[in-house]
Amino acid sequence: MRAYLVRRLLLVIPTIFVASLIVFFLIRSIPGDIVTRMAAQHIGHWTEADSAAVRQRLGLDVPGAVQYARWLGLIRDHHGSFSGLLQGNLGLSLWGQEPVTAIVLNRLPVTFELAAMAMTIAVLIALPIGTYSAVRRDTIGDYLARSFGILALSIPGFWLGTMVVVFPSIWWGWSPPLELIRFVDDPLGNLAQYIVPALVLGMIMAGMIMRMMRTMMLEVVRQDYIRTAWSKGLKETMVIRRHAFPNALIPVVTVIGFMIPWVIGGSVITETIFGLPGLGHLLLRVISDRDYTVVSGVSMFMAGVMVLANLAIDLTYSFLDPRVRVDK
Amino acid sequence: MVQEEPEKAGEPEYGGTLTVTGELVQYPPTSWDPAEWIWTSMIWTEPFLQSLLLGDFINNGPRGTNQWNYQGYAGAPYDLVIGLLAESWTVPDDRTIVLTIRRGVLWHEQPGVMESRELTAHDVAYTWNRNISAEGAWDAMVGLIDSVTATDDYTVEFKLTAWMPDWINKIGDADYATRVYPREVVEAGPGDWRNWRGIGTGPFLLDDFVEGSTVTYVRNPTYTVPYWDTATINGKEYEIPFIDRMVHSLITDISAQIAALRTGKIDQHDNLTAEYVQSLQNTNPEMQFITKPSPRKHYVGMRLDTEPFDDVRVCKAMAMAIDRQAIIDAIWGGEGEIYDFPYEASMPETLYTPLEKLPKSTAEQFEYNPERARQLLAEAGFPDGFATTLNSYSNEPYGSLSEIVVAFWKDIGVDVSIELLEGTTFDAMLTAKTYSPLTISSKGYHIDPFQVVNLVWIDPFLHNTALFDLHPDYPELKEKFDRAYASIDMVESMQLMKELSQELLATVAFTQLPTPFVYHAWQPWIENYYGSQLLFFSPAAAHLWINSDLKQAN
Repeated sequence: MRAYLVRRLLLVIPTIFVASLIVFFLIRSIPGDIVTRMAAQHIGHWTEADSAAVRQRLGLDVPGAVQYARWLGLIRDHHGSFSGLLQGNLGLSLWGQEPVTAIVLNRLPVTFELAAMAMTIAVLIALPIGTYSAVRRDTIGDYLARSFGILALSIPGFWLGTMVVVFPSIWWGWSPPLELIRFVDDPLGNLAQYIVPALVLGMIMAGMIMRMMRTMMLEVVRQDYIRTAWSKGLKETMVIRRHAFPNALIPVVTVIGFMIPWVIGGSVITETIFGLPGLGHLLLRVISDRDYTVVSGVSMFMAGVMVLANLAIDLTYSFLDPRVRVDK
Repeated sequence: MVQEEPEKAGEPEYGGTLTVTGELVQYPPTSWDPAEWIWTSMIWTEPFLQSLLLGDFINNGPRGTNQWNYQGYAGAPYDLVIGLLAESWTVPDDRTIVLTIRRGVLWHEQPGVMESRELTAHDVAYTWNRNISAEGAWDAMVGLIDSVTATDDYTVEFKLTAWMPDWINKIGDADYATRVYPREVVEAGPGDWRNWRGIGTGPFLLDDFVEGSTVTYVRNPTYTVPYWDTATINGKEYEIPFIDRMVHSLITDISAQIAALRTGKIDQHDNLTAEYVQSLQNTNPEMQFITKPSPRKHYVGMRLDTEPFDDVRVCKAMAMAIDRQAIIDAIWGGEGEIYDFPYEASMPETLYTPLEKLPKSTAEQFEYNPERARQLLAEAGFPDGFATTLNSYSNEPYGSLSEIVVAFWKDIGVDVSIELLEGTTFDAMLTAKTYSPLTISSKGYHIDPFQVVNLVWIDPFLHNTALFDLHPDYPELKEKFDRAYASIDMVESMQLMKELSQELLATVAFTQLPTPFVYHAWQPWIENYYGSQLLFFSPAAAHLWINSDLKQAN
C-alpha cells in the first residue's frame, strides 16, 4: 500500500507541471490582453505609451517563457525577487495587486460549501433511487426513477437555475438573498441561501449518479455470490445492504470523484445566477478581465484539488476493493 | 439660493436600507486607489469621496428647474456646475485656475487610520499631486496641469501649461475629475478597501465590500458640506442623507436582478429594457418607471482606408439601406429613438443639432431609402453590390443588430458575412486594427463635448471603436477641434464644436444605428426620488427616503 501511495504521489509532480503549462499559456493565448481591458476602462485617456508602461509595470513586456519561469519562481520576477509557485505564491492580481492566494482563499468557502452541499444532495438522492430502481427493475417505480434520471441529465443547469429564480418570484414572491450570509454570522440563513443553488446543482448530478448506481447494482445482483446469499435465505435488505450495495458502490465512488471538476464547472453558472461570490463566479469575471495571474492561480488551485481528489479516489477505491492494492 | 423641494414630496423619514443595481454592476470594483486611474475606482468611491465641483442637483435637478435630470453619470453641462468641495473659483488668466475650498468640511474619523479633521486645500493639492505623478496617470486628462499648490488652508492654485476649456470637467466635475482623499489612507494602504472603510467627506461611507456580491455604504453621521448637506422639504430643512444604508448588489444575472426587483429585495434598477418593464408592470403595478435613451450608442464603423468605403457614396448607401425604425421595432419592441450623435440629444442646442435641423445632405443618411442607396452604389461603380465582412461582439444586442443590418444590405446587393467575437477579443482586434471592413460597436455616455469629439471622432488611439482610423483625410476637422480647444471664449468654442459635429456627420464616417430606451425602475416606497442616477451620483441617494409603512404593506 505504501509503495502504491508513493507511486501515486510521484505521479502528481508531472501532472501538476503539465497543468501549470496549460493554465499559464492557455489564457494568454486568447486574443486580447489585460491592457486591452484596461484601455476599455480608461476610455479616451489611453495611449500606446500607456499600454507599454502598463505592460512593463505588470511584467508582461517579456516573452511568455520568461513570464512562466517567473510565475513558477525559477527566476527573479520584475520586482527582483523569487516569488512563484515553488515558493507557494500564486502571484498578485494584475487588477488591484491583491495576492491571488488571498483572493482564492476568500472565495473558496463559498464554492466549497456549495459543492459539498450539492454533492451531498446528489448522493442522498441518487444512491437510494438508483438502488431501488435496480432492485425493482421494470416496475412503475423503476420507470419513474429512470425518467427522473433522464430528466435530470437533460436539463441544462443554467436553464434550471434561471427557472428557479424567475417563477418563484412571480408565483410566491420569493427570490434568493442578495447579500452573502456568512455561516459564522447566521448558520441557518447561510444554509437557506445555499440550499436552492445546491439543489439545482445536485439534481443534475443526481441523474448521472443514479443511472450509474442502477447499472452497477443490476450487474452486481446477477453475480454468483448474491445468488448464494439469496439461497442462504437472507432477507432482501440484508442481501442488498450487506452484499450488493457496497460492491456496486465502488465504480460509483469513482464517478462521484470524477464529478468534482463538473461541480466546480457547474458552479460558474450557478454562482452567477444566485449571486454567490465563489471561485466559479470569480473565474468568469477574471477570464473576461484577462487577469492572467488570477485565472492561472485559480485554475492551478482547481487542478491541485483535482489531482488530490483523484488521489483520494484511488486510495478510497483501494480501500473499498482490496484487489487494487497492487502491492499486496 | 436653495430651491425648495417639490410639494409632492411627503413627510421625510429617516432610516432603512436602500438596495440598488443596474448598468454599473458590469464594472465592479477592481481597484480602490484613485491614483491607479481605473474608472471603476471613480464609480465606487463616489459616495464617500467628493469632487471640487458638481452639477447643481438641488436647484436644477428634477426637484428644481429640471434643466438636467441627472439620469446619466455624475457629469452635467458646464453652466450647471457649481462648487462642491470648492466654494468658488476664479480664472485669473488662461494658465491659472484658483479654487477656494469650503470651510467646515469634515473627514469622518476611522480608528487606526485617521482622526476626524477639516478638509483643507492641502488635501486637494496632495491628492492632485499624487495622482498626476502616478505611474498610470492619464496624460490626456492631466497632461496640461503643470502644478497644484495650496497657497493657504483654503486656496488651491492649478497652473496650466496651456488653456484647458474643459477644466470644469477635468479638474472639477465628478464624472472624470479626481476626487479628494486624505493622506492618512494612502499611508495605511489605498489599495485595500478596508482602509477606506468609514473614511470620507461624502454623504455615505464605505462599510463593507464582498467581492462579487455587494458593496455597502452607511450614512455619514458627520456629513457637513455647506449647501449640500441639507434638503428643504415643504419649507422645512432636514439633514441628509435620510437612509441609513445603501447596498449595491453586484449580481450580474438579469433574471436574478428582475426577480429581486419583483420581490422587493431591490429598491431601484437603472438599466431595464422594455421587455422586462412590461413583465414587471404585470406583477408589480405600483412600481415606478422613468425612461431615458440608453447610455450606449450603437453604430456601424466602416474602414475608410479600405475599398469600397473610401468612397463617401458607398458609406451613404450603406447608411440609407437600413430601416432604423424596423430595428427599433424588431429588437427593442418599438422602444427606441433615432438621433444623431456624437452629442447627447439632451444637450442644449448651443451644442447639439437635432436631426431635423441638420443640412438636408447630412440628414439624408438617416433616411431609409434603398432605391437611393442602390443608385449611390451604382454611381460609385458597384451596380451589382459587393461582398465584405463584419465583426462585432457576440453578446446582445450586437448579434441581433448584425443580423438585421446585414439583411438590409443584402437588399441593395451588398453581401456581408458576419463574424461575432468575445468582448475582449473584439476589443483587441480594434486596438490592433485587424478588424474587418465593417464593424458594429458602441460608445458610452459622455457629457463633455471635447471628450465626446476627441474620443469618438479624432483621437488617433481609441481602443473601443473602429472610428479612429477613419479621419486621416480630414485635417481641417482636427484643425477646427484644436481651434475650439484653444479658445478661451466659451461661446465661440461651443459654436466651433457644434459646427464640427455637423461636419463630422457629413463625412458619413459611420452608420449610426438607433438607440434603445432603457428604464429606471423603483419601488413605490422610495420617496422624493425622480429617476436620477443613484450609483455614481450620491446626492440623489442622499435626498430620498424610504416610506417604511408602505414598504411593510407591500
